[in-house]
Amino acid sequence: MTENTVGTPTPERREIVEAVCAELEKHNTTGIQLHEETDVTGELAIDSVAVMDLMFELEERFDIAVPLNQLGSVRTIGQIADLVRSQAKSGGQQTE
Amino acid sequence: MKDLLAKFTAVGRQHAELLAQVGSDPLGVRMDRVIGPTEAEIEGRRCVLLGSNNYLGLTFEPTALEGAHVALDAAGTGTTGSRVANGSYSMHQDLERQLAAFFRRRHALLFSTGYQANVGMLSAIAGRDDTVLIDSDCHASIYDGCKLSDATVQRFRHNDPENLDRRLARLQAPGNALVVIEGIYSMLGDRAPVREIAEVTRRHGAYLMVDEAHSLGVTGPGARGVAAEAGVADKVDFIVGTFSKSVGTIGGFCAADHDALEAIRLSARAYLFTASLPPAVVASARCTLERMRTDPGLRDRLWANAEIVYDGLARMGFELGPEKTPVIAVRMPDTQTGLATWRDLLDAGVYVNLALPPATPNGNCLLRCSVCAAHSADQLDHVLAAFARVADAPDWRGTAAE
Repeated sequence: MTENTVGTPTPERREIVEAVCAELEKHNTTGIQLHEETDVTGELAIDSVAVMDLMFELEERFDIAVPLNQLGSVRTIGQIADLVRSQAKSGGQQTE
Repeated sequence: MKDLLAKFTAVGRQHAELLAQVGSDPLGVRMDRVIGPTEAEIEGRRCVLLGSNNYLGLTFEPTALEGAHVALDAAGTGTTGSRVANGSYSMHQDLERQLAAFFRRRHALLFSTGYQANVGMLSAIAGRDDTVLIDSDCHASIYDGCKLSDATVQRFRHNDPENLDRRLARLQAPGNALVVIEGIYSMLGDRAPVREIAEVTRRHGAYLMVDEAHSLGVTGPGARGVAAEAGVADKVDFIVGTFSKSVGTIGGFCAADHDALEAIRLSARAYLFTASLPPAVVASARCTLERMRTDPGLRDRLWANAEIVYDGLARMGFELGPEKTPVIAVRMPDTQTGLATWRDLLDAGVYVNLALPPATPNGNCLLRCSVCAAHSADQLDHVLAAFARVADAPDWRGTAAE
C-alpha cells in the first residue's frame, strides 16, 4: 500500500493546520495567536514530550503513523501539517 | 563568532528560577552522610530516604559488603579495560552465568550501567530496515538507544496494547519489528500489561524487549520481574535491567535465549567502547542477586511497606499513581506547589524525588516516592506524619486539603 488505496482522500493542508492549532490551543498558556509560522517549542514553550503527545491526536484523527525520527526537524505548525500530510499521502506509514 | 553555549541559557535560567523558588537546589541534593539504606544526613538533618530506588535495602547487605571488600583487595579498584580487551575477569563471566540462570536464559551480557544496556542493545539490534515501537512512558535510555539505531521509531500510547496492535498492523517496512516496554514504569509506578502486549507482539511476528529496571527483585517468581509475574517470561525475547535499584550497586544487563547475544558482544558499542564493571561492584551484585532470589521475605516486606505508604497517602487525599506498587507518584497540582511541598518534606526529614516535566508523563510535577523493604514502621510513621502536616497546612493548594 503505497498510495491511498483505501479511498480516503488526502486531507487538505488547511484542514490539518486547523487541527494542529486546535490541539495546540489546549496547551497554549502564552495567549499568542496561533498560525502556520508559530514555533511550537520556542514561542509556545511546549516541551518535546508534549509535541510527541500531540502527534497521538493527529495520528488518530488522520489515520496515520508518524515515525519519531521525522519529528526532530519540525518546529512550526506549518511543518507539522506538512509532515502529517506527507504521511497521509503515503498511506499512513512511511519509513525513515 | 556565535555562542556555542547559547542553547543552555534557557536551562540555566530555569534552574536559577528553581533555586530562587525553593531556596536550595532540588536537583543537587547532597547526602552528607549515608546512615543506612533508608536514612541519610542532608543539610545537617537525618532524613528518611523515600526516593532511593533501593527497593530491597541491599546496599548494606553484609554478604555483599564482605564480597566487595574481598574482591577489592584481590583484584583492585577497577579493570581499566573493555570486556573485549583486558576487562573480562572470571568474575564478570561468573556473574553473566548467574544472571542467565536467574532469568532462566541461555545468555546474559553485562553492561556498565542500565542506561548503557538499553543504549547498547537497541542501537545494536535495530537496523535500518527495522521498526522499533516503544511505550510512550519509556525511560530516556530507551529513547536514546532508538536514536542511535538506524531504525524507524514509533511511540505507542502508554500501556495500550490496542494502539500497539494498530501500529503493528499497518507496518510496511521490510525489516523486523521490535516492541519495547518496561515492567514497572519509573515515574507513575504502574505495571505494563505484559501478557496483552506479548500476545499482540507475537501475533504480528514482532520481537519483545522488557526493561525490568524497577521490577527486578520487586516482583514475580524468583524475583524475576513483571513478565515472570504475568507468566509470559517465555514470550520475552530480551530482558534488560539494571543493578542500580534492587541489586543495590551499579551495572546493567541483557538476558536472552537468542544465541546471537554472544555476537552482540562484538557489535554493541556501549559494551565494546567502555570499561567493564569494577571487581567490588561485580562481587556485590553476585551476593545481592542471590539474596533476592532466595529470600522472598524481602519482597513481602517491600510490598507490605508499599501498601502502608500508598494507603496512608490515599487516605489523606493525595492524588497517586494508578497502581499500588513500590513506586508511588504523588501528583502535585502545579510546579510551584510541588517545589514548596518537596522542600517542606525535606525540612521535616523526608527525602523524596522531585520529578518535573518533561521527565514526567502528561506534564505533571510529581513527588516520586520509592518504598524500601528495610523501611521500619517508625520511619513510615514519620513519613506519613510529614505528608499529613503538609496536607493540613493552611496554604497547601493541593487536593489533599479538601
